[in-house]
Amino acid sequence: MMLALTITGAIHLLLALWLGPGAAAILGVCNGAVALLGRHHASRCGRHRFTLFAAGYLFLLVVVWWGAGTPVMFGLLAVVFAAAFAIPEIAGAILIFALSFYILTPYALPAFLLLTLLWLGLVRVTGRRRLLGWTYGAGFAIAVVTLLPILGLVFTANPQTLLMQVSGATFRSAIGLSLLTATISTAAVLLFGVPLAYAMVRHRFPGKRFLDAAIDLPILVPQTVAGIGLLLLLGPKTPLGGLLASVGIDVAGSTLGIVIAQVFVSSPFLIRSAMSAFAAVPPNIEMSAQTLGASPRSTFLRVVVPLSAGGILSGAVLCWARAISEVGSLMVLAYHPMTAPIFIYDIFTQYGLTEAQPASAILVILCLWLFLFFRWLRDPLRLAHGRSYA
Amino acid sequence: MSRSPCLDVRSLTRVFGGFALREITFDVDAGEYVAIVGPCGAGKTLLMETIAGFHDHPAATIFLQGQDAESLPPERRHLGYLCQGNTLFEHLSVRENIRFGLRYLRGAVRGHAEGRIERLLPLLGIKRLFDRPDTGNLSGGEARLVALARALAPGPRLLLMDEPIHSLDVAVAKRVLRVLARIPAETGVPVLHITHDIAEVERCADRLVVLDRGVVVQAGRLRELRRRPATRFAAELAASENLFEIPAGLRVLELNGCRIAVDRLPAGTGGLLGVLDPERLELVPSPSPGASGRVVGIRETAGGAEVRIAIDGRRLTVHLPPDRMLGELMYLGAPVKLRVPERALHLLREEKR
Repeated sequence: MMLALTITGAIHLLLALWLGPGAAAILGVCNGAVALLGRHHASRCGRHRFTLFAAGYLFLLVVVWWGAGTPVMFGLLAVVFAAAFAIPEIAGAILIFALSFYILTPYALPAFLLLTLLWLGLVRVTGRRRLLGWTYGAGFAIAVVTLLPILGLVFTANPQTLLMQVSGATFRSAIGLSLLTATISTAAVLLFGVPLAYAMVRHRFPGKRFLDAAIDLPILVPQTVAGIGLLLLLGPKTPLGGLLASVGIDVAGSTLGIVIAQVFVSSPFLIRSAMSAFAAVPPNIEMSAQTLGASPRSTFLRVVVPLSAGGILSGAVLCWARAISEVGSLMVLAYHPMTAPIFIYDIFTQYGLTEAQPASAILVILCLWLFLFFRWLRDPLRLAHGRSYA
Repeated sequence: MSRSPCLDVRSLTRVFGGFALREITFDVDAGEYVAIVGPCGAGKTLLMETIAGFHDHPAATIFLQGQDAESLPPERRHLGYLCQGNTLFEHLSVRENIRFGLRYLRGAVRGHAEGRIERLLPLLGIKRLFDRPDTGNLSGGEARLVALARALAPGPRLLLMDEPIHSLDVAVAKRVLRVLARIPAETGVPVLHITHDIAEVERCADRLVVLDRGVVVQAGRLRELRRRPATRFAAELAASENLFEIPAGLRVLELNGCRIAVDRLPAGTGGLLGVLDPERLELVPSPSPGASGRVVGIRETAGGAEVRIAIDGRRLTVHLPPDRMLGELMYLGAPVKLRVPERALHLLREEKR
């Protein structure tokens, strides 16, 4: 395997001298994909058959691409050839390869990887069940739509400009402020939202239905509207804002304002998640704890919270993610001091797309890494989500 | 001086939305095993939860060792409560589960509880589970026994159990029931066990309380319930034998040559139900006077034999002690005469549903 990779790599390096690095890299990706898929296919359908296919593929490559100088023709023939050998994985991969390099040129690499994965999954799944194939295909299409811009952003960023961006003092302070405010906001929602979630699940009180709807309101309200509402309530020229300002507390254009706006938009995620986690703890378990001598408070802290910690923590991660990505209400309520997303928007409006890209890439990498880290953290703490109490 | 019972429920009435418990009265004495039996929707679990303190109730209706429990919250009633289903705390180990209640005990009482756990583990047969780091892979029966140990560890005044063998395998359920039956004697904790299936508590319960639609229909020993049921419901639940309907207005029941007076009850509307006590019925060889019938089934039991006879299309069961087996006369198809002493007949008026 290693030997084959080394030899193929060496051949493509040699080709780079002849064709130029760009074309050689593209060819390398294509041939690599064919080789990897072929290896899998060979173990299934027999070595001889695959050797025959590989020989034909090389023949096409040499004669049609180099000999006749028509890479498009080569692509089409390779697809037909792979189809004739009944290797749908390779036929599809080559087609996707051609499409992504001709149509989605800037996103070619991430698009090729994602779409090939989709294709392989589709071939694997539809082999057995049709409905499964459809659901998988539909689901993956959504994943491609959401992942493609993010992967493209990261893949096409120039490492040099990334490094330059990281060393910028404004950007670093913006990132720092974002992390700090999102963390404070999440802590605030944990402190106040989690008890509310418990009350919503376990108690009956007047106005509960109203409150239940109100919890989701921040998701419904456009973010700019939320910012305007907060500004109308807490702005420097309003009664409440004036009162706060007289004791030295500024909401608009301050870190406190950022936290308030973030709490506003992110609270539903944690509260809803905590509510479903609490609802999954059967009342019988709480009753057992109480008859053993635990007061309601002790039962809540020693039994209910640990049992729903998985759900609360996933809610906290979502809440944090929502807080750090908030822009709309901050643009109205607290544009300065700048959080990272505002900073990126600021650069975009002032200097344009290319200048905003590196900062965006860094923010995506950082947030994605933290998000995955928190999700990973959840499991070793034995806080697995969605236990059953049957 | 009479000692007050461990649990004394006195005409407890409590309305829950569209359902009500009405005039519930029963008690559980020290060392007793009492079962509350009733169908789904009889209010068993609500009654249990009210006793445990999860629903408020009027003063002077529930007494725990003579103390009015009205103002006591669940955590201060000192009752063991084994709820339905698996209620183990999954974030704790088996040991932490069993010792959960000990944190709320003080000083010497806590020391006693430690010793109690030492004795409970072998009694419940869960010694080898005690060091399991988590409760996730316990089987249904094991989980139930661990929950039982947890409920008993703090030394409760009374153990409440809500369908303790619900959804367990038959073999496991039998084993758990054997353990349950020993609890009052071995730990001194009286038991109140609720179930929909009377067969479950047939062996272990000292007394039964039959609950139907929020009302105590009858309370007493199983034997008493079976021979002298208070209502058709109690008769059917306790699987009373020789139950038959008597049409309204009938004064004498003809049973193939035997006349039984059935006009003992004060006049009322509706029909009557009669129950013939299988232990008080007498079988005599064919030429004697009595209702003539044929033996259609014989089954030997621990206390003699159970003989099924057919009279006039009716099938009746007669329990015979070993010394009255009638020897060779008792074979399938043998003609026999049945004598019905007056005290063998229990009459009740059909309740209106």
